[in-house]
Amino acid sequence: MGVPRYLGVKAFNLMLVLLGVLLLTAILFGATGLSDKILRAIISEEVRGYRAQLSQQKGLTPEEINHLVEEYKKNLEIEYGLDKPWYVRLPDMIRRIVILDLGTSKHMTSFTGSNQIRDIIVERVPYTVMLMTTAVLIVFAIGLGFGTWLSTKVGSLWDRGLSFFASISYATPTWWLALLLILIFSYYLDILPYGGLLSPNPPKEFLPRLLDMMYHAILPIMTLVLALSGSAIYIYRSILVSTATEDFVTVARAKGLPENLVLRRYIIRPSLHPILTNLVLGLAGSLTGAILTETVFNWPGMGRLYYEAILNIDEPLILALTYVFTLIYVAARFILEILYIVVDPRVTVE
Amino acid sequence: MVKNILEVKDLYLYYKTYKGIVQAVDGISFNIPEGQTLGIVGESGCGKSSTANTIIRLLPKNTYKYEGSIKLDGEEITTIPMDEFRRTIRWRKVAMVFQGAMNSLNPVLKVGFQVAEPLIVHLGMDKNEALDRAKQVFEKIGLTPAFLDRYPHELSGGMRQRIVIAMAMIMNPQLLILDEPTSALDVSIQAQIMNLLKSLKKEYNLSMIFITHDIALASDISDLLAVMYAGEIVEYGPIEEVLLNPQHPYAQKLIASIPRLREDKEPEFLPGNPPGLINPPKGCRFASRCPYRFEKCSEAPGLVWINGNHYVKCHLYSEGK
Amino acid sequence: MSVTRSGWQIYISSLVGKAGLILLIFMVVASIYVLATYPLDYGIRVWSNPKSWADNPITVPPTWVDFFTGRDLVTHHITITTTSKGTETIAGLKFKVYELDYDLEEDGFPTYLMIKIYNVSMYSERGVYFVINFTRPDGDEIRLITFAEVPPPNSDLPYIAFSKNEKIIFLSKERSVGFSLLTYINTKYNLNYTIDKLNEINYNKVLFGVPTEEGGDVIWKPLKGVYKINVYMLGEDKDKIAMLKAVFGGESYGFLGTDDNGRDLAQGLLFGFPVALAIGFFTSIVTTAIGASLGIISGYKGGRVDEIIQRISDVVYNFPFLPIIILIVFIISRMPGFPRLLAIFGAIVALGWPGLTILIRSMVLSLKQSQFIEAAKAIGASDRRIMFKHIFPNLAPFIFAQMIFFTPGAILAEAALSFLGLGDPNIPTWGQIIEESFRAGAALNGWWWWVLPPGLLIMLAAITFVFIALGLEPIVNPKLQER
Repeated sequence: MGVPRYLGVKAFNLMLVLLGVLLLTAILFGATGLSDKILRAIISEEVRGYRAQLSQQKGLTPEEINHLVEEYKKNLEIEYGLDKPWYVRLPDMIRRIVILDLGTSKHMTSFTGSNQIRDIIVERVPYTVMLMTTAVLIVFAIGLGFGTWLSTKVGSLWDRGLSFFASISYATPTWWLALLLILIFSYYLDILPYGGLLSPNPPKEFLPRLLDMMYHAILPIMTLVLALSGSAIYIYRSILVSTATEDFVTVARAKGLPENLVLRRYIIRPSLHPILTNLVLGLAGSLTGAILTETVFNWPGMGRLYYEAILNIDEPLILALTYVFTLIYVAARFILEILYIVVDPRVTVE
Repeated sequence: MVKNILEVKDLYLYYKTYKGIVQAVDGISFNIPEGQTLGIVGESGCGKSSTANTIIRLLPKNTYKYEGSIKLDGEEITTIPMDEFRRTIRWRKVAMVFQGAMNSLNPVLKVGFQVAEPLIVHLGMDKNEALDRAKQVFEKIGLTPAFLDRYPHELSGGMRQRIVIAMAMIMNPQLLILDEPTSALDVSIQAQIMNLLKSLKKEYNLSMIFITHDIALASDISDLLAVMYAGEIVEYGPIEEVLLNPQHPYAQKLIASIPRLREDKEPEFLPGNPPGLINPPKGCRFASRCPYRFEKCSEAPGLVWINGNHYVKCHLYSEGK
Repeated sequence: MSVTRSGWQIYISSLVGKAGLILLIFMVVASIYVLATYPLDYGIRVWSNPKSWADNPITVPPTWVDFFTGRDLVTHHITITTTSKGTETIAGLKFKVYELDYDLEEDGFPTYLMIKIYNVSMYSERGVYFVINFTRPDGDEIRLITFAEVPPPNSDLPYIAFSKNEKIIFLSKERSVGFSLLTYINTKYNLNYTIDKLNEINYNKVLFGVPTEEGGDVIWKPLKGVYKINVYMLGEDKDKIAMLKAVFGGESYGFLGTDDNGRDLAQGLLFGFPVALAIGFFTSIVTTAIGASLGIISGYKGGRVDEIIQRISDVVYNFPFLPIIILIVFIISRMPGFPRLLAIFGAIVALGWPGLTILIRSMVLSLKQSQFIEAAKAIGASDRRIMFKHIFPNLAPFIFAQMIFFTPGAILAEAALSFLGLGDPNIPTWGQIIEESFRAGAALNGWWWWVLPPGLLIMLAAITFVFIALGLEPIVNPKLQER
């Protein structure tokens, strides 16, 4: 299988995932009657505006206004497809989401005041990406560093201690750890802010503002690093250990290669495939996991937005965010597939 | 008389597991004259591979006892510090083809590079020059130079095996250890590889250790034969002598078990299992399966030299019998 | 590959296996205790019912923090009386007297003082008149408050007042108490305070303390000893109070303190045990059953069935877990009357099965090649028989281990969803309790007893199953045994 064909197949599968999510959400919204409810709310909002506009005009009797409003409402219902059952509307609904025509939010506005969902989400993306990428890269460095070190010490006290630590870290809810760290560092030690993006009166200049933001990012990043490192070290260690038992590593040693070269070229290099899988999926996973961390720290990213959308029962926003999260996830998976081709000559034949 | 390229004397390798101490190599001695091939045969788990690994000093992490003398071309190599051993002995003087050679190649590196790599590392050769040399070896071994740019998964088992041999030959080693080099191959490919090895032996006057469980295969290429049983060499000598006139009961049984054409004799088989290498019996390790067992067998037998270069480890031949 | 006696021995010889088992036994015992002693509708009837907690102090730490604070915290105290001490004639009027005692033993102030009056029967339309006096260990008696209660016009006699809702008087907040205290400290200590200043100090300090001067400032120090609250009631002879209750607010409460509704956290957290176990068990059992059966069918049947199952499981497997599960629970729980925990259960199952299906399918594919399956086929066993009698038993230990391994994930997922406010507010789960503490800003206020224990319990539940799974691993995965 050639590279284009391989990527084509993978892209197709990922498109199926995207479609699956859309189908699932559309059916959930449709079958539970939520979709009808949302559309009715939108229509009644528009009708109210129209009525107000008509009553401004002179020379219209109340009956005429009522008639016009009724007509307008009927047209809107047809336009939005409320005259048809939800499963007939479904394809159009999916089409609109796919082209990111995400509609307007019921309750929320962007920082600039727009109630267009697209605007609301787009301005939040950088904050999430910034926070999560930093955290995941730190976790990756720690995980690979310690993982490599421990992979040379299989069965040692350190190694056994790690598997215990990894179990604990797996069992610790990140969002709870966040609260714990707030308690320690914000309440008792009072050295780090408990949340938010900036101080109440943030500096205006770029550099101090950035530093203020970084100061606020310390606790969330610390939380993520603490929560994810244990498993990361364990996973990278296990990957490297399983490669280290391969015959070709013994051969490399027999060839008289220095130990650091053996480690680099014969243990880490062939392990890059699963290592990358963990890195990229970890990144994608923590972007979606941001929902919890950002909520606790009131970090104005997509995750916190999702939480607020749930609190405000803002269906269109929830739907749109679910789609965007899936899109990010799928994009990450696709990037992963491309990286596989770079690091592992075997993938295109499997 | 030809000089010995390898002299092994009282070599031990024990390692620790949670079940106990494994006596993988238990005081073995043998010599290999230059240009000759020693076949080591024995059942699986008798310490054949451990012997090979000990010579190239690939010791397990949990090594408990590593003792004895290994002289390579007259030089004692067990006392060389590890780093120097790696730089001066491994692959420059002793190269090895491993058991399960299918997995001996790094899947993410091109095979040409893997073959050429020791030249780059040990001789500081530049990559292109090293690949050129690899190409020459490829040609010798019957591989198209185009394969240099292939990845292992793109090649068949036989091809991979040739590449592994090319890799072992790249530094012109004084000693080549082959650990079950053909056991995973089809019989026809096996024959090709054996022929290749024989021609290399002849052309380079190569000294080899050929490890196999297949005594017939060993006889095809070896000049000397060592029969291993439970961590010990129970009989060692020139191949003709050992094959035609085996002394040790185990060697006799082993050789008798080879099926032969044009002979009415049915191949014999050996009842029972070899003892484990953890806590082996105190006396002769073969005693429990030996038809000629007598009282003395509860003591460990010493080496009994039959003639010049042929010994057996059995009380049947000791003087006090 | 079957779980035999030796399998059990391998399991029990591993440290984590033993630890996991002990923790599991502990959790099961706690759950049985809850099921035996709590009402089934505990959540609605007790936990979410403010009346159950009305007497409790709000957001106070556990009692055992005494151990660390170096000072005994004032314990919460409730005095109840149902009988009158007798009568007393004051200015020619005969009062019935009720007395409530309280012994302040700790070196601190009760955080509040509250009195509750239940079911006062009145045999005259003139009603009754109450006088509440407060006697201190130093012998001072302060009249705190007086008030009258009259039956509504034309009501039947005897009229029972405060029957539907008890009369609650927050003595340590009541303004008229404040004025009484102003007079008291003026005459006794010659302190001229305004009512605002008194509010600042807190009435309870004046009620239960004495002023001392330190560097020109007045500092109130607690006064240890026996306090009495006397309730005098003027009315007909037959008139009586069914029950009187005085609550002396503690600085600490119970084994794990209280939340901002005065709820006893120890009680709620204990209730979380069976809920967590049930969520963990049921989701993992159902998920594993679905995942494994689809895997076996897919792997064994092959063809179109395999193709379809494989496609779907692949798609679902690649769903971003958290957003999708939130979406599902959110939408389902918007349907009125739908139990939220059931929605959470359903969502975890819906997203959880494909991993196992993919795994099992590949295992079945290799099993299918094995000789005993060929043999079974050759003697004409039906597909169903082969799947159930031959394939399943071979995979059973592995499936069981997978089930255990899935459990902590389910417990953590439920906790996370509850934390996001998608749980059932009427059922106290650990995640739910942390959600409430988060909304109340517990971490920012230093209410650690409301933050730490629920999280530790979630960890405990998760780690129990992680440990068990680790203990099972060498049995199910024989390769690991040799290393």
